Amino acid sequence: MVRLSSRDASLLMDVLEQQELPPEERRKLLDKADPVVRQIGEALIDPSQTSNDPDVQEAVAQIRQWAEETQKIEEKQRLYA
Amino acid sequence: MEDNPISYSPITIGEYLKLLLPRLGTTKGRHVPYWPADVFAVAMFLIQKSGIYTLILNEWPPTVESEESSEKWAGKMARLGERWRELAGRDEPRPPTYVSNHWRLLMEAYSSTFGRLREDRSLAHALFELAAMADEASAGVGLPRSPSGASKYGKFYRRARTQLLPTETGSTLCMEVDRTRLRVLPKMHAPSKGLTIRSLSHHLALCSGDEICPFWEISVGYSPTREFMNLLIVPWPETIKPVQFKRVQRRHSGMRNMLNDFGFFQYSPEPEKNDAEEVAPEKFVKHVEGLYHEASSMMGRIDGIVFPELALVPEEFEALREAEFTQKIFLVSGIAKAPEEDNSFSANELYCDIPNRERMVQSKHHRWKLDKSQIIQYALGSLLSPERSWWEHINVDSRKLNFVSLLPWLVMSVVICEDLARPDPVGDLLRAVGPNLVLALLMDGPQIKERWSARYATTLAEDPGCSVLSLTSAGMSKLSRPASGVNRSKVIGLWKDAHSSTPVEIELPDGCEGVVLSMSVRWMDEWTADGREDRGATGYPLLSGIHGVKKSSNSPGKA
Repeated sequence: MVRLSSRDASLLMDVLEQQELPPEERRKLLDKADPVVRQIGEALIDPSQTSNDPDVQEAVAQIRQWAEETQKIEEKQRLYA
Repeated sequence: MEDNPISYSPITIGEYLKLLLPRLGTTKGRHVPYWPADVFAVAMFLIQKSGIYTLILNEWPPTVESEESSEKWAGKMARLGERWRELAGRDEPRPPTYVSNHWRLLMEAYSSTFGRLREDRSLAHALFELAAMADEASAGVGLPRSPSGASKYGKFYRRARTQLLPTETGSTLCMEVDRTRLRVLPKMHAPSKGLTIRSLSHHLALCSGDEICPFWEISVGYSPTREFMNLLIVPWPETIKPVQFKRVQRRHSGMRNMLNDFGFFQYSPEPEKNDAEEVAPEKFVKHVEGLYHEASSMMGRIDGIVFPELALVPEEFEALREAEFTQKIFLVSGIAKAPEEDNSFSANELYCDIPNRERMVQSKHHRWKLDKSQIIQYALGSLLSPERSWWEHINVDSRKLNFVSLLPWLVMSVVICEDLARPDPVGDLLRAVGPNLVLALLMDGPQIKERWSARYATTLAEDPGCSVLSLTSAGMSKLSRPASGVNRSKVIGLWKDAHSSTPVEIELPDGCEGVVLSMSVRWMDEWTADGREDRGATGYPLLSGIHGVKKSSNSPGKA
């Protein structure tokens, strides 16, 4: 299992959120990141950039699923409001 | 002899302002902070110190403009808050002009005595509005946001997230007000009862400095079920023997000032060991795996497993985390650590482990003091004399509290035993932030409604509105003997939320070794005392099912 620090997790959220930026600029956000975090971030930017590390693959899959689930909750919250 | 009367010097508004934000001590440094949490810290500190929040009941809406309906006023605060959110996320951030004008009013009162806050209504109202606008601007800070949801005001939320990242001394949302002076944290509940400073905000909590360090962690990549959650509760260990409570010598370097009437004890867990006397957790992991599979097949999905106080040793927790079946669920457990050398403290900690995140570790804040009645209750009299009081021999010099932001509606905190009962320092912080779910890991007798845990859970459920689960081990519950009446040792947990009229006892059914608790969310409107609603943003986890878990004959670990 990958172990992300608070800072790593925040960085990956930055990468996920800034979809309006061109991929190369989003990649720049990962310049100073730990190699594992960079691999996760690159796979989030470009799904074809898959890592050979099963832990990284698992983390990417879970982050993608998390993004979808979180979006569904936000939609539900908006409906209620 | 000449009279030399004492000269009293009342504190001024400026002295308080300078205390929070030293730059305000110079005339050049009196510009308004652009970041809402800093303005909130200043305004709320003055409102709290002066007690002027009680004015809100008489002079509401608290506006400097007269003849404004409360609804219209609340709408204005929301709009200005939204505008501030947009401006504070810019490359050259600034607050709205309306905020700057109110701030100017405050700076003009810099040299006035503090009592002016009560006399000058326009100044008091300006403070209320500064706090209200900062609160509205900060809606949703500290919570997970989906990439698409974050696109609006994205820069503001990214700034807030970066600001909140824990350092060695914990978290705060403030950029300018130093954490040693005051902290501001995200907030999940505005209390619906009483009138305190906490009644004035939905999204931001004012917290005092460093007595206890709050750590705010935002989950990414862990997805519990959307609107409900299934927790597998394992009241481990199943048996505790009195000899596991050992009398110890006080630490050489400390506590020399304590009377001899006090003794010290430590609890020693008895994990399974191999021939070389090393912890061999395989059997334990298989036991939990059996329960997990049974619970999963019954409920479809399990989101987390929770163990009580001092349930596991680190090696057992580690082995459980490594097991394949726990890779997508969170684990919370009380951890017992033996002293590293003679006369040193043992440790009573909790581990909170969310998939893909670094483990969160938190120590117990208060030592358990075993008195005569408890020694008799747990039948420990032959080991610890009932004629003395016995302190738990642990170190309490590292006080922190983790807030785990799991979902857009769910922030969870975990406390250990005594920490639920003591009103400070952790109680103040819990009430200020109001996490939606509080797990209390106990080493206690049966969790019946009449016990202390029910009282304190009820207090937190009423104000600020937390849902509270307390959990003890089957072993400790069995060791407890009631002074009178029926032994109810099967009651290993207790649930209380803001909408349950009485606490709910959680009983381990015959033959079962675990319990699944189902929680579902109810979205509710909350109101601040100044008449602002949160438009249904508050999620209340409510208990929606209790199921006993019995391992089937083909489960792993079933003998």
